Amino acid sequence: MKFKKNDTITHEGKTISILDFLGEGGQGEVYLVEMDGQKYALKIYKDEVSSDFRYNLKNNIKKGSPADEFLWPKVLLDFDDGDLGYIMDLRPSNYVSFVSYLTGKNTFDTKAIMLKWCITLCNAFKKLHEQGYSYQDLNDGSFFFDPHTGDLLICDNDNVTADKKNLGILGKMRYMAPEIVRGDKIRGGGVQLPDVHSDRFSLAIILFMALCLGNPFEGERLKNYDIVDEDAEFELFGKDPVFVYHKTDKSNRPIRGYHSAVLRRWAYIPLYVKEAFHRTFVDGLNDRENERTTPLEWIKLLSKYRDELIACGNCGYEYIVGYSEKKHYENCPSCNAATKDFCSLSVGRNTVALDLGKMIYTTHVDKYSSEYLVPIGKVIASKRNPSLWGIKLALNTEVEIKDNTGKVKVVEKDGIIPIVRNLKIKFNENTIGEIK
Amino acid sequence: MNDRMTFGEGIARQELNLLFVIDNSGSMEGKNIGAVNNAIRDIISIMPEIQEDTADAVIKISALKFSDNAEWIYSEPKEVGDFKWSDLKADGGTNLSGAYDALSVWLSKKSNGGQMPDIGGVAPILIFMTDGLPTSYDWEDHLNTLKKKGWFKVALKYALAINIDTDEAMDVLSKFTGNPETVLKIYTAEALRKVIKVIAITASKVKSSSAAVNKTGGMNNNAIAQNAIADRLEDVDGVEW
Repeated sequence: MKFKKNDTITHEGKTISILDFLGEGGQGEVYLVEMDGQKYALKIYKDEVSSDFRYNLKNNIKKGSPADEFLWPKVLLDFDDGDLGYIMDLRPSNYVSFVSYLTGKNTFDTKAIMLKWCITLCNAFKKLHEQGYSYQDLNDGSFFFDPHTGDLLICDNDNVTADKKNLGILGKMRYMAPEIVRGDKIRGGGVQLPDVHSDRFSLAIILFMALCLGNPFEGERLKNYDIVDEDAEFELFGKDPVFVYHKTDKSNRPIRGYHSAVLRRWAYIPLYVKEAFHRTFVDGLNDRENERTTPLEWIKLLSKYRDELIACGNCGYEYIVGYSEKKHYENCPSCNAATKDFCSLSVGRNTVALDLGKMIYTTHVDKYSSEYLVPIGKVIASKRNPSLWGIKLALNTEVEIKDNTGKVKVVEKDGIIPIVRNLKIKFNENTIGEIK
Repeated sequence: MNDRMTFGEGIARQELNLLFVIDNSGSMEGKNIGAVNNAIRDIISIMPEIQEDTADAVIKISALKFSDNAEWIYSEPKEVGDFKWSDLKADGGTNLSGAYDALSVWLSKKSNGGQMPDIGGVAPILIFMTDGLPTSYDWEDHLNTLKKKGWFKVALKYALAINIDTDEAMDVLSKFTGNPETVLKIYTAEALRKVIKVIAITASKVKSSSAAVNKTGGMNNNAIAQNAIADRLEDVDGVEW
């Protein structure tokens, strides 16, 4: 252990007090510290780090965090004896680990909240990539969530590097793009190192895990191995990965009684999301630059998925309306109760099922916006008559509504639009929505 | 999630078995068995943290004690939160043959009457501790049967020689691990407690995670665990290997 409780460190004129030992990972030790009257986490590396690593960390701190979701290194601690560490914010206690979601210990309050978390994750990676970084060692241990709000926190950001550079850690096989697992040779010498394209592959794995509770490459083929060691993993994730829902190669389907969660969940995912996974995990195995669903594409698809969720009036299970599916549910897939009647808001290319609590976002009414997470309205029920529903607005400007008799009314920017069929809503000159 | 079909359901995980094989013959009485009991209590209190860090594998713990006979503490491997410990008492002879037989059965797939998973198993971690020579003289025959088990071949095996360092004892233990480097000589109860902890916790941490890859390719989890354990043992006094 590098420090003891109550040790103090002086760094560039500031005093940092060690309050407690929080834990250790492969690379370093983490302590609870106090600096300027505030509590922080301090990470110190156990072994001497390379000069590249040191330079990269320093540079990342200087450039700052790409998005609020990253628990980014804040202050570099360069000790005289060669030790290196940094200060970062503490993880707030409302967050629980993505690992605990995978193991069934914690869950999101609703599927819509889980999708919000996924969209936030894609958005964070979009911003990371836009700033020329790649995350590289993406795995289940780096992510945290608030079960009630779907807020995201990304930890372990010290391996984030400028794209196309690498500091030696490539990742864990189950979460890696196959060309990195294999160590493919690239033109000009050397091996393929993690970059934006491998990040995209790993991101899709995390999304598949969030949506289906399984690994996209673990199915029947597991039975070929008595022991799942590094050689087995090399074949499953590197040499010959087969997507469990490959359309034509059915050799690696999830195993009944073992991959139960995947089997149950995949069936109820919208077709366009299935297609995006298929594209990444089948075509994207070889065409790493063109066939891996990008964070922006995911944001759009997952937003669409969220828009068409409806909660069963009997059991609360959230199923999709199926706007673009061949099959529609007449009964709840979970409890078999008859599905309920509902209205939809159609605006531009979007169709939103207007269920209680459903959020309308900036991107629904402004096709040039990229604010996928900024709500401008929410479906609520009237307090006096709960059978009357409306969209409570949170806009900057008023909107105009026209009912089926042609009567026009102005709704204040924070007013309520009644949910009645055939009502037209003019959000702005170019954007007219209709409730159907 | 208000999701009746999937509530509380988790991802299918690989299974990592951690097994303690404990000699509780009469000579272990006193400090030695006390140190073993303490170490296992320490481990089961730390294990939940290790499990919380990974969804790649579910860690299961088992213990086999042997004196005149070999006996399982639980009839099947237990998940981290469910493994409870009752202090062992030391008494009787050192029937190593019986222990090896019990291990041979245990190291078969569940569908063949053992405790190894039928699908998705990770090579187990075996920690063997003894302070004396076997009183069953045919132990080598029984070891030869055990060595034929695939799960035994791939297991990460450690043997702890407690206050005994005769060539004969070392021979017994080296034959078990198949590698003299993973036979450790322990001279104090405190060292015993620390060593068991370092091995069980470090190995579980490394092996409950999907294989790591660096620039030279895939890394062997058993080798990574052995290196990490060797690193940590350098700080423990009263150990030789």
